[in-house]
Amino acid sequence: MEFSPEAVYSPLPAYAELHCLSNFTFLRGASHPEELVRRAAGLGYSALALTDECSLAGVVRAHVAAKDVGLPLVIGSEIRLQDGPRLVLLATDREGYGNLSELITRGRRRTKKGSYSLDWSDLDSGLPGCLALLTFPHPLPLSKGEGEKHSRSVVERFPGRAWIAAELLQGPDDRARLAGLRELGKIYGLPLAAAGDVHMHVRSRRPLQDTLTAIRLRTPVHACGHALFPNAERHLRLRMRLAQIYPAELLAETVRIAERCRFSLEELRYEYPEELVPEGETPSSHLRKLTEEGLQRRFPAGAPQKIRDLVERELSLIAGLRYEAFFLTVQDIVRYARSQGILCQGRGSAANSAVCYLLGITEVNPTKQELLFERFISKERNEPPDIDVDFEHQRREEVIQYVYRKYSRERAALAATLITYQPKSALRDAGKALGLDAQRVDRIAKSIAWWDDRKELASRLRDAGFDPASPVMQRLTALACALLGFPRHLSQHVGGFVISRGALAQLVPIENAAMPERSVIQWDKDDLENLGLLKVDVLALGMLSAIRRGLDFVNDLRGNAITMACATLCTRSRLEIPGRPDADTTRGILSMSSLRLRS
Amino acid sequence: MAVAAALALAPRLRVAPRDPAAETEALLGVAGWAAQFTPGVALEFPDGVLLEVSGSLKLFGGLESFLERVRRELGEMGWTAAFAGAPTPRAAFWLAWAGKQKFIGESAELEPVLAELPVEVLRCKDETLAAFEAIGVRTLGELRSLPREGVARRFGQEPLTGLDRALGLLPDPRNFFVLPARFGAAIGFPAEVTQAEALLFAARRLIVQLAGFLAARSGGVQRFVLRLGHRDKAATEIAIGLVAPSRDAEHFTLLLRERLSNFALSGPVREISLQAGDVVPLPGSNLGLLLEQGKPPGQWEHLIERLRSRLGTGAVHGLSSHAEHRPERAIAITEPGSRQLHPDFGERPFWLLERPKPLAEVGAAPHYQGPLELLAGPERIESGWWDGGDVARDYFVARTQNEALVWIYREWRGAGGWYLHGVFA
Repeated sequence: MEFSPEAVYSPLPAYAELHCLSNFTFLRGASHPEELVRRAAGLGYSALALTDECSLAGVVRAHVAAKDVGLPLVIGSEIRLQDGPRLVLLATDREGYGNLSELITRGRRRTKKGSYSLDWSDLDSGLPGCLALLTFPHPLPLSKGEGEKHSRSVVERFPGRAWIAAELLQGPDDRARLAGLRELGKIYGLPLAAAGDVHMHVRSRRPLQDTLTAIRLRTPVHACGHALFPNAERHLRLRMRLAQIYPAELLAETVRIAERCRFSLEELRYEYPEELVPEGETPSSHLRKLTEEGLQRRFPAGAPQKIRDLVERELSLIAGLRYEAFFLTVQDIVRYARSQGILCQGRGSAANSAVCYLLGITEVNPTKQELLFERFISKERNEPPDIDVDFEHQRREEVIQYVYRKYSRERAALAATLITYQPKSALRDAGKALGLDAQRVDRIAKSIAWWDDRKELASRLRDAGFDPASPVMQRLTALACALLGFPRHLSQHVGGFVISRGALAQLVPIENAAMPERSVIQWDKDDLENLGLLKVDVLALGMLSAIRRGLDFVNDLRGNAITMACATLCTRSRLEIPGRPDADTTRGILSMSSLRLRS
Repeated sequence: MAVAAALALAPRLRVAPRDPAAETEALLGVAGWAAQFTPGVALEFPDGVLLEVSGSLKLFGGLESFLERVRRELGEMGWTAAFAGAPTPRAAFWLAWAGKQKFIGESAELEPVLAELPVEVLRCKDETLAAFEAIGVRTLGELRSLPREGVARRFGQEPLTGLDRALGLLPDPRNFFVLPARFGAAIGFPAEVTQAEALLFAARRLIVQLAGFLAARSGGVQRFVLRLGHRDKAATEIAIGLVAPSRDAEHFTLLLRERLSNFALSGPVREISLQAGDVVPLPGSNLGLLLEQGKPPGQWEHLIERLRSRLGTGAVHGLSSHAEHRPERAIAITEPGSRQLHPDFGERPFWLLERPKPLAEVGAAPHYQGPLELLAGPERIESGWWDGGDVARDYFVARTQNEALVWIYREWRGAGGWYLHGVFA
């Protein structure tokens, strides 16, 4: 008889973690989405739900990592209701995802940046396509009536789609907790499913998690008391441990729930605004029409064959990737700017194309340049084309307001920029959390401009007069290093717009930016790129304002009209303005280039 | 009446020399107590206290219940008093002094009532009284019927001015009594007291006075000292501390009784005095005036005070919860009543061993007085990395073979092992 390990060891139960926060739940989650995904895969979980609090900001990163390791990822969000419990909402399909995204948008748009406000009435429509897990605080609420009220409310809104999350975290009396939850479940017909209220991928993140709590509460960690978690159980636990803690049917239920959540971010298809294409035209035919008009305009004497060939090649490439609408969107914005006499100039990889020249997006004459359009836009790389358009910085706002006006705030929003912990801010916040006095923390943070790694930091600390071997400094070093790169908040991208055909909030949650009258989506440019979503960059360039004034001045003086077109044509051979020494004009061009390099 | 004559009438009479200083002390004490009823308290030396009460009678439930209370408390302080009331302070005092228990509300009714009072109420010099007697004037009415100029010429303006003031014809301004900042009062005993119990009766008089004083100040005290004066040795001091400021005479008495009940006197006591600490404002004190007494503090506060009275202050502590996950740091010893325990403390014993006791292990199972039965747990505590005292433990509630409930844990750090951390009461 052969030895069979399966026969000897009972197999580990299958498990899907359905309640898991990443560090995109700012100052609560203590692990990156990628870390959570990789750990869940390593533990052999059947699936992982990323359920950041009223946020989908981390899902793209998790999605990319999950695709990489082959882990089914469930998209969800934890929502704390003003008049109720914390719910975990999970998207089962595209509709559910859209509804969840809209719910988050609604909660976020109501309040100032960084917070949200939702209550039961926001869920009265039942959020079709979503499942709900009802969570309870630790320890259970003393008043039983509250648990019953919440159970009733969730059953009413999510009939057949609601569970009680049994979160057993080695508290004072898990047995009693489970019994209490079971009783509630029996009364209201709510099945129980195991969940872990996960805040970190591994147990060893506990100090960092405590530190995040301290930073969030603006209180030194030693004074945080019961605001800290009593233990490190809120991590992705070994299935062997889960098997010891939970009855088998509660673990099996998690897998059944995860299987109902079939939605993947792959399904998101970005749809360009319809209004750019006149009736009876397709995006493709319309782009061709506009391009041909450009040929007429740019080459009144007839375009050289070289250009015609290039345009054909480019158009077929654009059509192959279905990027027509993107070029049309940019063309529309540039057309508007021109009509208002606002100087603008396209740049970026895709901008160096004949099509962009002909659409008026750039002024780079392809006959005079060596252009390598395909180097930047190719079928193989499957990356979105990059066209940034610079506008006179003093008048860019007019263009932004045009975009909002044309597509409405429901369909256009700025991309996010993820602000993460930098060496100084990491040191400063970690120091405060450890209870170091503000002055001392500042002294350390200021004396250390930048560091590469922990070893480097230690020697910088020594230079600054601190003993890196002391326990406090050891803790500070470890925490600051762990904190480095953690997301802190979402800011607005300098000018990257996402514009959609339908409600943008069905695609990605929108929240308020710090600036009034601005709204940002919860994804940054990397996320957009990873999902193959396009953004249109409406950027501000101070040099363009300077050139505008320069052109006005020169034209005034000479009485004729130099335009941007004339100037750009000369970039290669040096801009020459008759009657002026060469040196001056050369400096002007260098200055322009350096600005471009910087931004 | 001469002492000899008095003794002849009552051979068992005990004679003590009059002590004017003590009388003044007593009068001041009564005035301090009376200030709780009205800010308008004036002294009428040597034996009268005037209260301006028309404004505050309503507060005390009308004249009848007011008098009832005043009489009772005065009695408790060891005084008997005659009461009277009138629209003018002088008339009120004369009526009282004459032993007429009359309360006159209208000035118009004043004259006929005053007319019947003996001329002695004027407290004139003895010669004047003799002269009145000589001309057959016994009452104020008879004095008033004499021609004013004649009276003035013969007896001076004083009797006439007094009469006019009593009738409200002349103003009669008084200096109101001002409360001292702190309370202090004493009683001397005619005979030395040797029983501690017996002191309580006397002390009670001072306590009532203190309570009145505190009510007048709208405050309470958290500490007072009873001082026992001995004949030829240093005084004994008995300090009473309270959990919360109070001015409840019953409560003060109770505490003092507890203390005195097992108190060994170091010698016979000649006098006692009561000194109170700083007066602190007592919340709700205005309401307390309206009620018969202030709102009684919780029963447990009395219990703690009684325990402390019996066992000594150092023997009774409070426990307070400190917001901390590590059990040994979650409980702190405090002044009783100074802090509250955290309500959701869970299943934990309040009494923890100062140092967790390592438990024997038999086959990896913890033993304490034999094998243990694990009833609840594990409750995992992992906390404290920030101060170098990081713990990682699994706690269990366990039952010993003797049916005792204990709190044990398994340590995950260092050498590990099982420990006894607490015992459930």
